[in-house]
Amino acid sequence: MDKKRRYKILLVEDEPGFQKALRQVLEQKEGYEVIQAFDGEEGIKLAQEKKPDLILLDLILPKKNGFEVLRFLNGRPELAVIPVVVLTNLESGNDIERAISSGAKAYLIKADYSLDEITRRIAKLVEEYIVD
Amino acid sequence: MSYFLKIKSVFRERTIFNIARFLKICNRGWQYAQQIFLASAACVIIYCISKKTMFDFKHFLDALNVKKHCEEYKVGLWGCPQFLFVLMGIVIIIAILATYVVAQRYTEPEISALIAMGITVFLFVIGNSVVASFELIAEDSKAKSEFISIVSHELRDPLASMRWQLEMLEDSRLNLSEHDRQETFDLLGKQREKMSGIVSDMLAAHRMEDQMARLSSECFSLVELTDVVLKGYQEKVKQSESAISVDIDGVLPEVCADKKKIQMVLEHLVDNALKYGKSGQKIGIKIGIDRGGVHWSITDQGVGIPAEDRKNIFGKFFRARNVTSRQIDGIGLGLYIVRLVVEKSKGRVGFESHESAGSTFWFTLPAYR
Repeated sequence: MDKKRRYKILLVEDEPGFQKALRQVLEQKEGYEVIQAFDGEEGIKLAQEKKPDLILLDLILPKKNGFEVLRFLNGRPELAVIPVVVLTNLESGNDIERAISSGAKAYLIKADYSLDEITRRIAKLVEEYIVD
Repeated sequence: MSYFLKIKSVFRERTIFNIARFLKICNRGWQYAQQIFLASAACVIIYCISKKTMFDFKHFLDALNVKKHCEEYKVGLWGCPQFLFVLMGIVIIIAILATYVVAQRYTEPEISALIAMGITVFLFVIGNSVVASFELIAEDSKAKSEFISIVSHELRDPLASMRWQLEMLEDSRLNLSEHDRQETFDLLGKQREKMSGIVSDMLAAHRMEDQMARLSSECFSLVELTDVVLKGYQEKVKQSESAISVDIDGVLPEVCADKKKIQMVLEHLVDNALKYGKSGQKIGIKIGIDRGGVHWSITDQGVGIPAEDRKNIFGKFFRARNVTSRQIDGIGLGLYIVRLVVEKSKGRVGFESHESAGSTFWFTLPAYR
């Protein structure tokens, strides 16, 4: 993939295993810069400060859950432009509908993908949503 | 006054007229009922022959075994829809017979009206029980599907995480430092423990539900057991920046119960206090004497339990509304296991809670004399 610049991905995920594995592959294989947040509040703070190109957001998070983060981002024009991809294991239709209606661009269920597959999927979404 | 008496007399005449008409209808209805009965019997026989249940006598008897079906539902006879429906059918048949007999022998409409009223009240009571039993079974089914959703999430999450971590370790194209590798192995170990904890809780709850299951009994000091449990939680206490104090009220007698199960009770209560408490909170454990038993309590400074959830807190698969955003691990079996173990050990269990201020969970076990 020909990258004009190093894309900045904010990964909001409280589970250290997912954090570690995703960060390694996104940084080493795709060459992205990965910023990590372990709860919803930290995610909002880093989104405001670092202005990432894309946000990977879990829904079950301490302090502020993923839906609250989505609502917050959607309510601010400067943050609403950042594409958000939900990365979770909640798979009820209600959760998916809520996330999409709150502004998520895509909804990925972690258990459905291998690490390789999720990396490729994220890379595709980056190409699709990030406009230089 | 005379006007009132006139109304009363008209009302009585009309009532008697209506009841007499009702009895006449009943009499005619009885003839219809006989025909309907014969037709129904013919239908049942045709149905049985088509399903071969007449020939499969064992299966036929099995279908009639209401008690067995009720036991399968794990509800009492008076809360079992099958039994209540059979009872309702019997009452309806008796009602038809009674009305027929009354209509044949007695001319006083008051007697028929009284019988009809009595039967109506009885049917109303049974109808209510049927609805209540269906609600109970529906609640149980709802709790089970909620449980499956929680368990599948609680197991699926660590499983997916373990899969990604293993794939990361196996990927030769990734340049992982020794520190990263060690950290990943530690994480994998913790996730394995978490999953095995979930499965253990499910098995423990299942075993404790077995009415025939007996707990072993040995005499031990609850103070010493608390000490053992707290030693196992030193790391978690440190991580949550909490402090646990233990207040022992004098010299306490031993308790005689299943030591391993009581240890499980203590672990669940300490774990809950840490999980639902704020970071940096003070947790207080008190052990003393209460009404001849040894009283053990733990107080946290946590989220508390919403008033509307308090009656269900010791129920199976229950998780309070303020934690069901599922930001706190758990499958809603901990307090259920606590209640089962304490009650099977002839003890009492309870709690006091103030929302956003914290909760005190306690249990009392009979003291050894």
